[in-house]
Amino acid sequence: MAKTKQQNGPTTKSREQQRNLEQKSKQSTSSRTRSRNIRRRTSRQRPWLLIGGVLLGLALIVGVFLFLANQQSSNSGTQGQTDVAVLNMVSTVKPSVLAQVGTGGIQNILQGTPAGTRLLTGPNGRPQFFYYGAEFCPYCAAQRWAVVVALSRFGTFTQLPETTSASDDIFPNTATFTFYHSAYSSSYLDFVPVEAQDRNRHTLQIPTADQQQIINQYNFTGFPSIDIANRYLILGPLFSPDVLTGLSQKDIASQLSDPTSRVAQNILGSANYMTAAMCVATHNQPASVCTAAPIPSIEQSLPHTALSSGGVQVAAIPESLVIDTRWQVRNEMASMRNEQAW
Amino acid sequence: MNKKRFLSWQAALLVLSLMGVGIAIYLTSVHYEAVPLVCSARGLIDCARVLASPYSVIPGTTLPISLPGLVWCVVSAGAALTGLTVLAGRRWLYIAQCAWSLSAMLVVLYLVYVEIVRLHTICAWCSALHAIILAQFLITLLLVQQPAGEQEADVEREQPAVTARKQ
Repeated sequence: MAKTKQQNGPTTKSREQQRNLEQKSKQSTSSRTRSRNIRRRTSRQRPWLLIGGVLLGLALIVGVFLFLANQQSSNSGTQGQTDVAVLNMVSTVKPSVLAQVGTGGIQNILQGTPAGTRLLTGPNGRPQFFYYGAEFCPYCAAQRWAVVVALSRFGTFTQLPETTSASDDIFPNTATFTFYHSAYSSSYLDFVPVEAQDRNRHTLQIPTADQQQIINQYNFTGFPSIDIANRYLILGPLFSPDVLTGLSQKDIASQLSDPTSRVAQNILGSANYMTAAMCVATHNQPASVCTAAPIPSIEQSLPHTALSSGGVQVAAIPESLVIDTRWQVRNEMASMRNEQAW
Repeated sequence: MNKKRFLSWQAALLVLSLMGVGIAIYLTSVHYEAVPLVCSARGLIDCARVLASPYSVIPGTTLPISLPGLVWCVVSAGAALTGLTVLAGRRWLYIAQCAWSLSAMLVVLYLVYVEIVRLHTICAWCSALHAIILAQFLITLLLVQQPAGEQEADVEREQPAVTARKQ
């Protein structure tokens, strides 16, 4: 309602002016409040947008991880017959490379046996290298590489089938070999492997009574476990299968010629330890292996073990190996029957 | 965000940190075999496998990786407590908490990479701790995002000024 009162005098004027001022002030306050509220709403939304962005980013990163994991599974090693090329690479590592690697930074976990322990000999009367493992086991998968390299310095593998560790275990599908159906011959050692289970954890080989005696005596509670002629024990893996993740047998074998590669350092460093232990058992035979660097220095670093002068054959040939005609050991026995005992 | 909400977020950070402390202590005890591990032992979730892997210790040592996690949680709890009391409303504290959480997030990302890509196995307890760290990181992001000016405006709103003059 418009006011019709006639403006008369300064009082009315000043009241009107005051009213106008109050109105203007109210308007500017409310517009300030409005813009502050808008700013507040926008600034409240921004953090949540950022949170959403961060969560989306993390989801993408995890997606990349899952993709990489899948890629690794498809790039894993092969299973099947001996790959001659791989066998050749792994069994003919240059002495200079082995010397350069040394221990490869591997921690020495070899244990000496108690003083007076009789030498463990194999079916041919030679110092026995007893390996107890399983095909599913990823740590065995890693260890076998070092075992093959070391044993190749004392003899020859003519059969070495390939496999991978279990796909549902830690370090899945680690490329490796299996000693089941393998064939090895040596003039210095008897290699006696037992693969207790296949990669699906089904029973594969059952230890003989003598082998079980070794397992019980030294408390082989896990895989892999190695008894080197009752002189040294290796209870567990020397290196982590992690270094072999995503690599095929060919990839791994081809890296053994590069002493700077992590694969070579782990496998060859471990092999050097085993070689030194085997040299102790064989009285440093063959000399070409046992006097070559870094074996003498590693031998010095091994735990002291008292050598027994007599050797007693503790382990007979496992029944499964006798039946398996591909075992070179059995053939060796037939041909070595007339040879001088070790 | 008003002062009450800031304090609520700090309280949430404190609670999460204390939960983290509990889990870290449990994992450390499991490492030293002082307590049994209560967790799934087959399939994708297998705490024992992860905790027995080489990644469960600080590289180059035999100390469990849960120990630095424990230290992190204790520091976080201390910062949250400080944010609730003597340093309530201090923006530099929120920034420090955010940076602290970000450092832990980087480690979490590495550990998740190890679980998924290297080990193909998840540790449930470890994942719980990772989730706690993630939640703390997100909360500190929220705290840091609030401009300092808004706090003043909120204070103004809570104490409205007299604008009308009595005639």
